[in-house]
Amino acid sequence: MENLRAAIKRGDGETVKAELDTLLGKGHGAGELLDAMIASLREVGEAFSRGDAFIPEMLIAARAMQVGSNHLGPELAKTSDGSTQGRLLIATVSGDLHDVGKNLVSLVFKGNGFEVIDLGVDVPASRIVAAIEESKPDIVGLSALLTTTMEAMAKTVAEIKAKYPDVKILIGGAPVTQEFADRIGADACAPDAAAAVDVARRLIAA
Amino acid sequence: MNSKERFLTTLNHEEPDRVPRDLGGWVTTMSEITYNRMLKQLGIDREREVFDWLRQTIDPEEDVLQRLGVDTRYVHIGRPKSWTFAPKRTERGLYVVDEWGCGFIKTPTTLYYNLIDSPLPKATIDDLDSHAWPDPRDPGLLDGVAERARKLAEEGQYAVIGDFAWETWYERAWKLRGMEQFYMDMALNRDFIHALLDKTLELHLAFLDHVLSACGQYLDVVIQGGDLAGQQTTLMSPADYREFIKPRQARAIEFIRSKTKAKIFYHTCGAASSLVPDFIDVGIDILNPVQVRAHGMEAKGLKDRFGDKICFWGGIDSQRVLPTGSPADVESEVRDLLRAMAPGGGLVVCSVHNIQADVPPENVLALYDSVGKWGTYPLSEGI
Repeated sequence: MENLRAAIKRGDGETVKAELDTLLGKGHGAGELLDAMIASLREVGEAFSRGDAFIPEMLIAARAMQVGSNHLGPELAKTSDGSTQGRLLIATVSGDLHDVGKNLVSLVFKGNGFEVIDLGVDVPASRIVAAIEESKPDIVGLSALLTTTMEAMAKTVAEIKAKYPDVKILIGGAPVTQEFADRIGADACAPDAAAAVDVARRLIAA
Repeated sequence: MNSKERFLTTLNHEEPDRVPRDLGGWVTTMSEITYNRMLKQLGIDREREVFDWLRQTIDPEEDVLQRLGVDTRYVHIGRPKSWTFAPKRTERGLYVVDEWGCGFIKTPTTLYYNLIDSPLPKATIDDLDSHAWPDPRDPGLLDGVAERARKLAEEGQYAVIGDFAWETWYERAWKLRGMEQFYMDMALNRDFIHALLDKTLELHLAFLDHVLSACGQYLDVVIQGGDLAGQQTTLMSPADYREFIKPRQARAIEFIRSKTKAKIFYHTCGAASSLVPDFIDVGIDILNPVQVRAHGMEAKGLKDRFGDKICFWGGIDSQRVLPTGSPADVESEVRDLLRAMAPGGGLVVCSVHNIQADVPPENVLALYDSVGKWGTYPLSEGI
């Protein structure tokens, strides 16, 4: 199990797959292995939040985690208690084409056992509302890098809440603050991808 | 004391007659939309066209620079002969491939061009030789450069700034690779990143040789940069910075010093305070944009720790105060910055990055006028 954890942290997808096969062969359950990988990724995420890990380390660990969970297969990609963590619908808002932050959040959510529906960048509010209708997410994540698209974020939140007042909305991006989240009626704001997972869990449990 | 003397005094870490103001460079100018609104506000009946197609920003005009009390004047590179900006209409919006092979789009909802296609996402080190690189010695790049620089230098009124970032060797590298792939390679495919950065730096040095040979002796400042940090931390670890970036920064700076006595301005957005000692170490004279709302970038802390060794250029918050504050808030932001960073000189004031299209023109005027109002040395006690 130590080798598996270490391979996630150094982003070594091939070793992750080989270790998973070895451990499954030794009788470890897929859920247990997924838990172990999630724990490793969480450690990297915590280091990222503390400023001890950076974009390269976070990206490669999240990618390796994705390789590992794909290798286990969708049927097995459940935690040991049999649950999935939830479904995230995510998009960068209209007028903003930045996707690195949003993609990192997607990867980290997938790595943590969430199902992720990624609508891409520059997504109009109407498309997000339609996607909520279709996929019934537990949480909606909205991203913006530009101050000039924060108003699009506000408008998107308003449109979503008008139609789906109970859907939880989590926002993020460089200029976004908790104060802004409160003002536009979003449920929460997260400063980075790792923190976003914890906030999402709290919102879903609430 | 004229603008040039004022400017050189402050860059020499001494107090001039008042705090200098900047507008008009690569990352210190203004969105075309805001500029034209400001012209209207000032009662000036004309419109300015976009100068930098990528950022949709303008090159401000002389009467506006004088009205705002700007102490800098820019020497920009000319348009390349081998490439012309000619966007195509596509379903998504206006699309253009630049001279490096990078594809950019401006959709109906976006305010400027954004990178969407990178030409080298899967390239190997060997592939780098066969990529169609632009000519860093394109003769068009020199159009008007020596004439403008010499004229400004001979007039001696304003600080002469060589706007020669050329999209920077560092950011160019990730634009060619794609940002995510680039940062993953930084962990898993390090030799490739070294080879790619060697290539973009080699081209950048050839470009600097080209332009500085034409005008180096006339310049007071050379603009360089490359974003190394985000809102919370640096994008890469300090160790990776010291392996990938710092030695190349040192080479670029050494080269610039061999061509000109100008001071070196380095732009990196974000929470870069952990790298400032390295910047000082490689010989960067000026840090821009001093993103005061990023983690660890509070003005007073930076000034106290590094103010005797590096100058600060920028500092007026563009993430909250300029777009959403009132003119009074802007004035208060200017006073806070001056209180923290103006003592002892070493400060040039402008917005943190280009003034975006969501900034009301009265806030732009409040920025420049407040520096005029409060920026006289000796600083007033009540500031």
